[in-house]
Amino acid sequence: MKGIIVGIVLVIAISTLVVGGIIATIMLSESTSIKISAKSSKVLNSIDFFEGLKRGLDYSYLYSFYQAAYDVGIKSGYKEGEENKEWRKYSETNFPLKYIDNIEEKVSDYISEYFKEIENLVFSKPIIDIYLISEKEGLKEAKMSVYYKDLLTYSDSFFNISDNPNRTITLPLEYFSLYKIGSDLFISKDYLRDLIDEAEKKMDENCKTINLGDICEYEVKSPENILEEKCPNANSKFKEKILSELEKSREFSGLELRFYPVRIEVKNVSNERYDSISESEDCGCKSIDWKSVDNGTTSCNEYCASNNYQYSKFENNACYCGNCTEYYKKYHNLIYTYKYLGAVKALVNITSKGEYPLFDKIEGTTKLRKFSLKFNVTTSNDYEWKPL
Amino acid sequence: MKAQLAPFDIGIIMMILLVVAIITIFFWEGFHIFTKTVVIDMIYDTNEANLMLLSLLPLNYSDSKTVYEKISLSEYYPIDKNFVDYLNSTIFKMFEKEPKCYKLSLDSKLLISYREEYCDDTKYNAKVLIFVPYSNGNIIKYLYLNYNR
Repeated sequence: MKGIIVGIVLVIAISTLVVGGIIATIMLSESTSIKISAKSSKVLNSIDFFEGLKRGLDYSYLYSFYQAAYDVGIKSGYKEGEENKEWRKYSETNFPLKYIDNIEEKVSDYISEYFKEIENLVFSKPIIDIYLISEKEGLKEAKMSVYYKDLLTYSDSFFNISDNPNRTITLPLEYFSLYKIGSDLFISKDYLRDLIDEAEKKMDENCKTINLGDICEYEVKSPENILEEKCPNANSKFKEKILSELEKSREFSGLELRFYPVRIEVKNVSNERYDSISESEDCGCKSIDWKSVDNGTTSCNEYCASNNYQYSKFENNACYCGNCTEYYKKYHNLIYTYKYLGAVKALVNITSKGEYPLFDKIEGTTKLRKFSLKFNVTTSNDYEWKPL
Repeated sequence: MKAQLAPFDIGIIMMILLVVAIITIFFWEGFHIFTKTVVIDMIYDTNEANLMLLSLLPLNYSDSKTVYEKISLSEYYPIDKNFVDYLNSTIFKMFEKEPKCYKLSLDSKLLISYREEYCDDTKYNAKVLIFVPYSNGNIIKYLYLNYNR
């Protein structure tokens, strides 16, 4: 009897242990299963997230280019902190040869900014390569390759998802045309000087040439005075003509060019020319060879005339007769010409046709804007004259 | 020797152990399979919505702009009725039959919806990161697709 009781107790004890162990195993299994499932779920969700991210890579690269191109364009092709040289200072030219390098550097920074916004994303610094494909007719295509030393990795405590983020995208060609137009107009040529010349051509003819005809030397006034008589405020008029030329908006290959004058200096240079100059009786006598004569009872005038003198005068109770030894000179066909010189310092702004979402640091807003290439030029229509 | 188990007792203990072991094995397996099924189903649901969203984004809309680009630039080029119609018809085609509801939103901004009132608690949910033009604010946003079949 006692053996049976001991047996039952043992059975109960062992059964309790076994059932307890089984329950513990089940709980552990459940917990492990949930953990594995949760991890699997996280991995799969992360893959989905990473796939979504990859779909947008091209756009993050393109938006980074937009912003970098805008930043560099408004800085004349230079990067921040770099000396922003005038593209032209009279005959001296400075084209920002490294403008593409500057854009590449900025693009890399902006792409990094985009990626830094994404948690758990590990990336190496993007390397940017922008290249332009030209043909005889000009620029044909602009491309940008983005590549990395390492794979783009989405990382968590227990897994990594990596993929190749290298891409090559097409860039808006018109941005590079801004530099092409700018270089053609202000480096290869001096378009601003052409406009100053154009303004001079548009000056009224009476401000450029004043024909005095035949004129005695004592009637001749200085070129400045004559100009003031015939064409008052000539220099101001010339300045207005220059401003009028600069105010016009111009279009080159669909791109708009505008000038914003900073300072304008003008002056004129006169020149005189005539066919001949000679003494002329018409102009009167300049010098008389007076001789004292004894006119007796005859009047001085009559005496001198009867003795073939041209002139007579009675002074200090004495009669003088004389002949002209020198006549005043006469200019034949005297012409004054005036050349107008203008020197201009202006901000040039070449803008694209298309609009892009761009952030302006001064305004602090992002909105649709045109790409803009801004730079300063200083020139005159005579490089010897450098007042600015 | 008096406390020794009788062979009969040992047999009973062995029987009990065997029964318990068999029950446990089947119960545990059943529970494990159940857990797995639930999780896989959930993942499948999410993945289906994600696949739908990822299929939608690269589609070419008019004037050489993709759906991604149109959505990404929606703050600057407001979404017009034509694009809304295009999105609705495209999403509709992706379902085998008329869904109960769906809605597509960029962050908190609702882009399109179909019977939104049935979309409070959706089974299928996807979230995709969208790069938006550079600004001093958010430069990434999230596009959500939520629907019930």
